[in-house]
Amino acid sequence: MRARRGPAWLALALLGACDSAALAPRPSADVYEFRLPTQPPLVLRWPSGSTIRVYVAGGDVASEAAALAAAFEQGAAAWNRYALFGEYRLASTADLGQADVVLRWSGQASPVDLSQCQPAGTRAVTTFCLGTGGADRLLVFPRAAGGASRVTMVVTILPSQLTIAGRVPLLVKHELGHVLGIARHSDEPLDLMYGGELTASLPSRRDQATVQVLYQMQPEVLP
Amino acid sequence: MSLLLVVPVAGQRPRLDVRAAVLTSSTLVEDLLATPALKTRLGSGLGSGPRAHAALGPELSAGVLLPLRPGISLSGLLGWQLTKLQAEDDSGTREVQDLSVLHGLLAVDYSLRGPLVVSAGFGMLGYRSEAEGLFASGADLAPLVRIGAGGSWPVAGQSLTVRAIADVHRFGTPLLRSAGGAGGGVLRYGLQVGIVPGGAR
Repeated sequence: MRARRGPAWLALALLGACDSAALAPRPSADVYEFRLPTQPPLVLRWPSGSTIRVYVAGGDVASEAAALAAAFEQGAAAWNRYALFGEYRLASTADLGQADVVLRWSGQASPVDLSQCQPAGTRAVTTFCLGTGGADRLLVFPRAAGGASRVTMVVTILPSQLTIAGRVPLLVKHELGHVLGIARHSDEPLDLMYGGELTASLPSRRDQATVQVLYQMQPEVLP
Repeated sequence: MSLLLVVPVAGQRPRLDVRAAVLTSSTLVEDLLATPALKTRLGSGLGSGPRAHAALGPELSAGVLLPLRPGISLSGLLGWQLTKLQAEDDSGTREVQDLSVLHGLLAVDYSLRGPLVVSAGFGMLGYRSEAEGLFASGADLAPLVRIGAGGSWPVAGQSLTVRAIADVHRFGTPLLRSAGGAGGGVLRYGLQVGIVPGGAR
């Protein structure tokens, strides 16, 4: 009998190798609507494996610039954590020419020309417009000072939000969800992408499921 | 039973055992992602879910070989593979992050007819990577079972062995479990070249 234990143990080990580690399917209720509110709804997302470079235009006031840069770093880390298969990566860049997204304070000079696609929000807003050359690309914001640009999204934050502790990082995290392609709001108050007063400080289980499902959808509009 | 006694052949001393390999793995982890209800809701644009494996990468291992009997030897080895976590889904294949695979192994080689050699062993293995993504909270240390087969030839007084090897082990990470996932089995396989200086039979 003893002689049979070795092969049996090996067989069990081999059987154990048959099923790889797996993440469970997401219940449909954990995924809220993320497509652009067009008719029909369109999937907007960056190509898989993209590094999304964000130029943080914090302005001339050092404390405001530092606050916006720190808020971006927190927000990027919060979302990058859930790109388990390298679907996307949010990263900052100091080179406006390499930027895909601009993060800025409202009321300050924008490094890109907003005249053709203007921000229209209150405390925080992510602005992008469908391109005129075809609905499958976003409009590129020209550089305000001229020169090549690849910026297709602008995140604008109201500086007065700095007076509320923890508010700016929360707003930036929420807006970065839109930058990734979550083009709607959740109706669940505990989600970071909730459309009302925000309470979640990190992407919820539903936010995670939604962004992960989004990046397994065939994109219909590319930033 | 005789293997368990580990009695070296009289007059034979332990020798250096150095091995180089190229190895890849089966799927380390997959994301089952879509329920039928979600597929119905989102339509055909929803893909099948990503999966990731360790890309083909070099491994170096070194240790000590102890001849037990003529044609039978025991090796204790420590190995280090440099590779990358590679993901694939309907969008294509991409490299996610650098990965190191460290292992310790006790293996027995049996010489069969002519140059033929088969080997079997067991040990422990761990994946190491930057603390992000699947490895944000590290990875489990797991037992491994190895089998191998190949040939061994004397070359200028050295013993040169070429083997196909396969490791079976479990893979899991704390992050995987916290995200509602479960660990699973992995097959790690490749080709290995080993040299035992002064070990020609």
